Amino acid sequence: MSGKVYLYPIWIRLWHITNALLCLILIISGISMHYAGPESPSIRFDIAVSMHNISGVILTASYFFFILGNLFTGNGRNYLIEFTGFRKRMWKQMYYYSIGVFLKQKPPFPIGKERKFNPLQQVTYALVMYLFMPIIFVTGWALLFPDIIIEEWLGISGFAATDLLHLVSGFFISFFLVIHLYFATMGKTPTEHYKSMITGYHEDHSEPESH
Amino acid sequence: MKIKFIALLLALASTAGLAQEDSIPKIVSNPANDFCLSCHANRYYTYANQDSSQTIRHKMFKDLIIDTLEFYQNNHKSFACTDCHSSEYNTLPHKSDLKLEPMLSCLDCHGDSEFMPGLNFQTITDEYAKSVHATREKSHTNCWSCHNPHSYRITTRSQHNLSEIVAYDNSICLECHSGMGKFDLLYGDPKSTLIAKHAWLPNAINHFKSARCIECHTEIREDMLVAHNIRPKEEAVKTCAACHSADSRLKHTLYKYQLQQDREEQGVIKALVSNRMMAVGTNPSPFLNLVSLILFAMAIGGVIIHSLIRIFKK
Repeated sequence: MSGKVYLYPIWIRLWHITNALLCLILIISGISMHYAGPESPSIRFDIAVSMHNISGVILTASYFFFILGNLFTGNGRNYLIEFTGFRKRMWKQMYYYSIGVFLKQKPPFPIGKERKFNPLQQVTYALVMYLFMPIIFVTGWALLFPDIIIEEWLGISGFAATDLLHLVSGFFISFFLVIHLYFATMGKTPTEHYKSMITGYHEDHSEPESH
Repeated sequence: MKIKFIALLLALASTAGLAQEDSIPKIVSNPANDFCLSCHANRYYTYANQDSSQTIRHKMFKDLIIDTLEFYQNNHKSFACTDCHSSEYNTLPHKSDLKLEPMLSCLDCHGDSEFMPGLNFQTITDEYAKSVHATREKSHTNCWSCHNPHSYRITTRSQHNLSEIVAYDNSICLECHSGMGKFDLLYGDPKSTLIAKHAWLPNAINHFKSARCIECHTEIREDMLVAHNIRPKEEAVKTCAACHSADSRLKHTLYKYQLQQDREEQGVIKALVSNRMMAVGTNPSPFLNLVSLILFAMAIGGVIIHSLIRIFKK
């Protein structure tokens, strides 16, 4: 089976590039604020705060757009994990990434119209988009309006807990971005998947290979 | 009504294990003061004039009214009035020459370095002498201008939460600098308001709630918990990174006492979730920073190794 498959409609591509750029701004400004200091080569604190706040607000709107898109276009089904045999499929994909790819084996779960994500992608994307993103939005908005944060509860500082959750979620999303950018180079050519996210078309090359 | 941000804390709640202390202060009055307070706790007082056998009712001068609730919560709550004032005040009507009685200064009791050595009163006095309050307003200010001996209570060295400490300490400054009170009388500047003067500060109101005036308006000394060398407004700190950084000024002032306590009393995890630092960029946990950097380095390292093997196996 080979040929071009239209996999990424315009709304997904627009959302994806917006999401990517905003996340980059948020990560850069977030790290800059986190490591701010008179001697630090970071962005000026007030500028970093504005960058972070504005991007965060736009990203929230973009997230709602993504959720609505998933609800009304059926794209959301790609994030639904089929638990039967899931562990086996995960191992298959992990084996491919860690060994199979070097042995020139074909991907066990090739991208196609019916399956846009392999099992590892499914889990990581679902975690990022439906766990860490909501946490970072809720905590981010709370930090934007710190008056709504409960000051202390059972010996826990509300601000510290909110800040910690925001930082930890931000860390995992940044961590995901690094891995995501690298795995995106694992197409037939290193730029194939990048081009797909611009044109919307994916080159379908192969049948799955069993192990 | 404010919506409290409880949901996010639920996950961490079970690890806390610390019940919040009862915040209702316990008031214990001193019977030795009842005689004085029977008049000085009220706006009006009555006494029997022994010469004319008449009952006299007068309005109490407002500066002589003692708020008993504040008095019995203040640092000197255990004192009897006559510990500091002449015992001759126990006679009515008070003798007029008692007004000439020299008032005690803070150093009369606190000057002795062996008495409450941790409070370092001599350094406080020396620093205050350098402050703009002392150099510009010699006739107007002294310790009592800010620390009313009948109501002042220490908040910094306490288990109060930060916002209570900030609100209490800032209220002392606002007593004169709120733009409606004594400051106007001195300088005739009724139009100036603190908000307008701090318009450059992003989220000024939140800053006022989270940090004390003295955080930016004093010269910090490591051997003092609360800086007393108030600098002229031209020398106020105006760079965000002075507070929003790993070596934040706040760690040397507002957070100093509680950071010391947390380090002494709590483990790493507990100190992390119970830390009271509120400024972004203060990096409360170098441990987490290190872990995150190691994980990132491992991810980048993994990507480099993986891509190199891909290139060599091509």
